[in-house]
Parts: sequence; structure tokens; C-alpha cells
Amino acid sequence: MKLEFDTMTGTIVLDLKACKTCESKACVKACEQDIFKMENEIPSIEGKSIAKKKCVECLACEQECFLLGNKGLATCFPIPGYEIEVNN
Amino acid sequence: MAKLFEYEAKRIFSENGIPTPKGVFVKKAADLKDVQTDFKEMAIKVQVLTGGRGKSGGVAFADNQESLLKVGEELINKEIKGRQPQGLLIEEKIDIEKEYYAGIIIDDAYKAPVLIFSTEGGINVEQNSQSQEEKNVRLPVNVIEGIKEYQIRNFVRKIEKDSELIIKISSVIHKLYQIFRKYDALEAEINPLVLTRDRKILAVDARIEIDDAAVSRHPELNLIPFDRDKKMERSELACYEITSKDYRGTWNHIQMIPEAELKASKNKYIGYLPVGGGESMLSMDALTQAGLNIANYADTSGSPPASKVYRAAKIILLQPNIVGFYFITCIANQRLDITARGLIKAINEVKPEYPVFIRIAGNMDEKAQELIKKFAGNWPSQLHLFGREVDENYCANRMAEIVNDYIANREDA
Repeated sequence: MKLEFDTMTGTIVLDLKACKTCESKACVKACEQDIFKMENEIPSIEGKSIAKKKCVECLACEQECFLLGNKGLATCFPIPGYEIEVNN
Repeated sequence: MAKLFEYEAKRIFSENGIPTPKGVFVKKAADLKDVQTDFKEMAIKVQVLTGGRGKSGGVAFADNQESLLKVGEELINKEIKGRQPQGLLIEEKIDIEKEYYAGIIIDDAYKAPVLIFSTEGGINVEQNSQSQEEKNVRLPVNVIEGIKEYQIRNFVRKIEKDSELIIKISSVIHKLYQIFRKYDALEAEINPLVLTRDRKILAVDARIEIDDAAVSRHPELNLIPFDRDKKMERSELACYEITSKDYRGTWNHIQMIPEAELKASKNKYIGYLPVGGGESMLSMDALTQAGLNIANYADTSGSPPASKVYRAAKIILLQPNIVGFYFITCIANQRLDITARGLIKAINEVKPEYPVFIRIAGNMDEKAQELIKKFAGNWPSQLHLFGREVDENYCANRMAEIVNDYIANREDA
């Protein structure tokens, strides 16, 4: 079960299974743009186009999830010509 | 640096009414055999983005198909001032009576475009313009008001007395100015502007440089703001592709040492990521004075998103065989906690084993340092983290010590 949405230049993916058992919900607190809201104990978004407009790609959600949460959120920002290195 | 090749500039000239010699452009030697012309004699000109092409042997002549093939093949494989030709322009050889110079540049002293006209054009124009001032005239142009053709005629008349030529030359310069404005040029030049024996005025060479910042306004030119006759490194291409679509903050990257050269050389270079244009230059000098070699130039400033800093840092960290990563900010006013997040993501992913040096100072630097410390425990290399308590010289000298220790320990191991 995943929640995936595009940002201006990348993608954010949440593994909602990990989110379900996350006590901190660090991503929700970290997001200065208030993209996430809690719904049935998991983070959700208002809509993909709204999230895309709001997100400023600050990476706070990913890093706070890593530090305090269940490591269920990842961001991907492709670099043309470096696909192999980015995927690794 | 968004310079047009001669054949491209001449296409613009022709489209805008400036007469040029008849010509054909070929991209590669194999295309030479397909060239069909009725020219009695041909001028074959390599297409490179550098001055002094004629003096460097980049122009030759042929009078039949056989010599065109022979000369053309030699020319297209000939490096001109370290640059590989990007094709050949084959033109009808012109019977020249006289050579002029006509150009427009942005002059910082006038803060305006300045028209320059000289009755002494050709390959020695620089020397002539200094030694024979009476043969050169300059005219600054108010860009709001523009310039009328009669004003250019009065300007040309100061050094050219033939009334028929005054009209013809003024018309060309007027059109050159219109091109200069239309294409957001920094420079537009015709050298030589030629009077032929049958009294025609022709632009025999053409140079146009577009303002880097205006390149995106001219998709029809299919340009990138880099030296187009040099091979671009993938890091430079990536930087251009990303920044041309994402205008938040700035990111510049120049691969000073090509990736292939880095792969072949060990223990020599460090990756370099500064914040702030002035800081970039200052720290580069300090690092060089400390005896370090830098693989790349970069600058990420103007409040870029963390994603942009991440991409810049990742490209720099991935440079082969580097022996250190050096990140330094000026007393920056951008939010450094956001900058730090980009940096952290890149280091988390690349996991460099060489030393990582970070001096982060300015807006929200304490939070930035806190964040970095939280993640640094997972990094394989030792982190050297500093703030505003140290200056650029200290940082550069410290980095030199760290890198030398790292190299010595690695060699011992």
C-alpha cells in the first residue's frame, strides 16, 4: 500500500504499511507546507496536484522520517545522465 | 558563452536582409562528396567558436571538387586552438576590393550597446584599431530610443566618404543592430564586411553571441549556454538540463577536470561545492594556495531548494578518484538548514570514504549543523564540520592537512 505523488522535479513515496505503525508521524510535523494530514492513522494528502504545487522539495519529510519515524518515506530526484548512480 | 557558429549567424543575417556569400554547410567529411556548387573557387572555413581562425590555418581554398574533398577532409580533422571543428562552411570565394569592420558590443563604460565601424577590417583588426584611431568610430545607442538609419549614415560618414558605400554600409549596420536586439545578443560582429570588386557589400564572416540568460527566450536557436565546440561533460549537461527547468536558486557547475582524466589520476583532486559566487572564487583561490587541486567549479546560491543542492552535491561526490569533498558557504542569507538537507541526502546516498569538510555559516547555521551531526554517525568517512568561527584561509589550510593525512594513511594501508 503506497502513497506516491510528484513534486516539481521529483517524486515522494510513502510506504503506508510502515506509516500505520509509526508513532511519531514525523513527516506530518516536519512539513512546513502542511502537505500531509492524518486520516485513519496514516498520512494522506488533499490531492496530487495540490501537493505538487505546495511541495518546496526541502527533504524534511524524508529525513525526519528516517530519524524519528519508521523509514517509510523516500524521495527521488532524478539526475539526467546519472540514472544508474541515482537508482543505486 | 552562447556563441553561434558562423554558418548559424549567417543564416540569421540572410533572414534579416544582410547580404552574405553563397554557401553550403557540411557537418562531416563524408558529406563533402555531396556538395554541388557552381562556384569557380571555394573558400572552405572550419566552424569553431574561437577568434583568429584564419591565422591558425582554419580557412583554405579549393577550385574543384577533388581539391574540395582533399582540403575539406584535412580541415575538418584539424584542431584549431584546442577546439574540434563542428563542420565546414563552403562558400563562393569573394573578389575583395576592401575590408571593413562592423560590430556591436555591450560597453560597460556607456552601459549601452555601442556600434563600432572601421575602414580597416580583416584579420589584423585588433592591431589596426589601436594604431589607427582615425579609422575607427564608435556610437553608443540608447536602447529605449533605438537608432535610425540616418543616424548610422552620419556615423559612417565620419570615416567613409563614398556616398554609395555610406548608404550600403549603414543599411547593413542598421540591420545588424536590429538582429542584436532581436536575439538578445551581447555581441554581433561582421569582420570583414567586404566591398567586392563589383561594388557589393557582403558579410564575409559573422559572429553573434547571445546573452546566456536569454538563451531560453530563443528555443528556435536550439542553443545551450556553454562552449559548443568543446565536449560537454555529463555533469555539465545534467546541471544545464536541471537548471534550465528549475529556476529556484542558482546552480552552476564547470567540470574543470574531465571525468576521464579523473579516472586516470589518483590522489590529486577534491570535489568542490561552495555557496555564493564570491565565496566560490575566494575559496578556490584559498584552496589552490593551500596546494590543493580542484576537480570542478560550482556555486549553489540564491536559496535553491534542497533537491537542487542534493543534485549538485551528488554529482560532485560521484566524481571518480577524488580525495576529498569541500563544502563552504559565505555568511549566507539563504536558509542553510534547507541547504544542509540537500547535502545530507547526497552524502547519505554516495557514502564517500574520502574526507568530508563542511563549513556552514549564516542564516540558520546552528540548525544546519545540528542536522548534519545527526546523520554524520552513519557516514563512513570522518566529518570535519565548522561554522562561522573560522575563515576561508583556515578552512583551506585545514582541508589540505586532512587530505594529505587521508592520502598518507591510504598509501600506508
